[in-house]
Amino acid sequence: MSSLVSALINAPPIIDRCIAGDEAAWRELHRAYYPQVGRFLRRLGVPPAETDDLCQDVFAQVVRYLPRFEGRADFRTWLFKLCISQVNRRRRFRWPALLRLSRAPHDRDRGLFAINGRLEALAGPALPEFSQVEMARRAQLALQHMKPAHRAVLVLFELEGLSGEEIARVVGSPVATVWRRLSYARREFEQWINEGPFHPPTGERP
Amino acid sequence: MSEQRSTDEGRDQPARLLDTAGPSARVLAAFDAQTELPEGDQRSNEDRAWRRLRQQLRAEQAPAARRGSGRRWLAGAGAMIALIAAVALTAGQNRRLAQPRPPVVARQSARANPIPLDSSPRAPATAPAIAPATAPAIAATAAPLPPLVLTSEPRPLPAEPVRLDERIAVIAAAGTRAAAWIDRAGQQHVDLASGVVELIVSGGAHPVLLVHAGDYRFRDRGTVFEVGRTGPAVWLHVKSGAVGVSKAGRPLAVIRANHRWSIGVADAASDTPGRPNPSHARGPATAKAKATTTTTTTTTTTTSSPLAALDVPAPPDLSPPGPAPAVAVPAAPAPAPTTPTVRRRSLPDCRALERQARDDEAQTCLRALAEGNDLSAETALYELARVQQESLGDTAAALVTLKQQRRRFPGGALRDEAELTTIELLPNVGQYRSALDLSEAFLARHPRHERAAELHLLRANILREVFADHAAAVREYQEIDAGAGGIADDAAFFLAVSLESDGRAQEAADAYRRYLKRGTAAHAAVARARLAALAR
Repeated sequence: MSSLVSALINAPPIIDRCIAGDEAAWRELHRAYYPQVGRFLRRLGVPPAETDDLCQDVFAQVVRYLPRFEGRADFRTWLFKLCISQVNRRRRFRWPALLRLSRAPHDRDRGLFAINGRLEALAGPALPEFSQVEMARRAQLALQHMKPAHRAVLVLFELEGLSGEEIARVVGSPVATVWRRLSYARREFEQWINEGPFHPPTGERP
Repeated sequence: MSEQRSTDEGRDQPARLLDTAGPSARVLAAFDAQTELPEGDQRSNEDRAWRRLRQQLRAEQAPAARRGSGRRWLAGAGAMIALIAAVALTAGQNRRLAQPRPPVVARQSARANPIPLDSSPRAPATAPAIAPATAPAIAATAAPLPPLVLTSEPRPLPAEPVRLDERIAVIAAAGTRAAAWIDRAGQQHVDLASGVVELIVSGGAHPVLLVHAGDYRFRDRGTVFEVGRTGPAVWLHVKSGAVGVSKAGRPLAVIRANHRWSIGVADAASDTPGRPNPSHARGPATAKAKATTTTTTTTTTTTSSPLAALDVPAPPDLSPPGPAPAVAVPAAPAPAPTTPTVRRRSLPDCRALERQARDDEAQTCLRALAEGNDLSAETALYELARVQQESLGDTAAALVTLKQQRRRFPGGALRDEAELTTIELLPNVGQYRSALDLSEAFLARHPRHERAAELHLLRANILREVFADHAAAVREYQEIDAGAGGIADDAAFFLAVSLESDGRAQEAADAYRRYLKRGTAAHAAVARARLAALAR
């Protein structure tokens, strides 16, 4: 028993083993964090068809940069930081021949969604009659419409359950900025949920 | 109001929406549940992803063997560049060994000023070089450099170029005495006792490196720069990026690319040793330095106020005629035979940096290219906006860059592209009215532009979804030809929607019917539902 305890205490952490080139440790790390990375990417609005590719990009970055991870922050927050960075890079897919409002699939959805929303509105109070799928879609549209910085903070706080300090480390901003972005993001989110896409949450109003 | 709320929220962590019972919480919970995959799916996905990742990493380790001929060609070109760089490195070292550093002789000036290397009015043609750039050019970094493992104990820099880590290369001139170390916070330091070091810092967040030369500190901001020190005389030459200069923790200046900064170097090589000190006549001096060169030694006093090193064009020299003042400025670039030229990066170089996720460097590279007035400068500005939008997600910065491009190149080859992209980005930051105005002006100039249909669709969507101006939206949708393709499909469908929203039921029903007759009606189900509703 004592030898087992001793072995556990003296066993190098998985990250150290990964850095040392232990392939079994890499496999273990991948298995442990792959679901979290995939879920976080989906929460950030990455379409399901692209999640696998982006996951792979994130883990390729992990392999490259793990030796530089100094352990001063939680590994998960470091991983989230990489995810956000990769999502931002991924946003290049329709440049330059694009007019997003007209071409992006979610905007097409917005059009349909607008009509569905109006149909629901004609039938009575909209929200209670929405199915789970429809509500999830509505949330996804609201998140897609947000600024990336606001969306990241909202997802990290509301869905990933990180504290303000942890989010500040992930996004590289002061805690006060995190709360301010969260405040804006919540306002935008609730506005989308309550008013629908006929009334955009920000920008000019007629 | 919002600031007040955010301040209040900064004191106490707010409750999570999911812990409440409002409609937002229900919607968020539904979304949260959807993002969770079943465990079986997760396991199989993870297994597949791990295999793919291993394949990718192996392919990266052996690039030339698995990739197509184009990539093999690129690999060959890369090897050739590395070879050339290695030759340049060797040549630079040989030059250093063969030619002793010339004595430091510099024009005298009242203050330490950064001088642009190009077209400086203060640079007489005969001014000798203060900073013989003895280190090899940046291209030398293409050659693999041995690492110098840093600890908290200073380690002397070797004579050959070394890497402090993946991002920092250090090249010390012959005879240089310098040491490198790393502090507990991970900040890397180079202590320069004497000689010249060139530092090439790339990638990631900055600063990563501090150079100490006497009382002065040089903090990199993602750059290539040289620091020289001879006794109290210190000089800096920034080749790209920017470097912050400070003394005793007090910032003095930020020196940008192609500028030099120096202090205390003048009289080190003066041919009038022991001359009177002009600073005494002007007022109290703040620093006293004894400058020493390889050939002569003299004593002088320097002024080192923060203003003395600001990165601004030097004012006219108002000092009275007489003995030369103490601080010398390297007023001209080093003579061609001894100065290795820094290769000007091209657009493909900048794109390569972007592909390597070195966004900061890519931006710096593109900004440097954009300083000209030719097509490549215009292209660089457009590319910079693209990087800002795509890689950094900073739409506001991209819009500013595009605006700059349109202002600087009003008749440029990419003017229309910049304008179209601006129109496209404006809705992303909520500037719908500006998007409408700009697109209207564009369509007035180019009514038959190849992307006119997209612009009409964009305008119609904004009018319908944002401004609820359905009559105007109908007019825009009708501008789009009823051909094939996604744009025409959307236009036909949303024309019907707008007609219905405008209260024109009969026209809407006709429009839905016409839409359903299309071969590729992506919104057919909804159209049929609306048609049925209108029939009731």
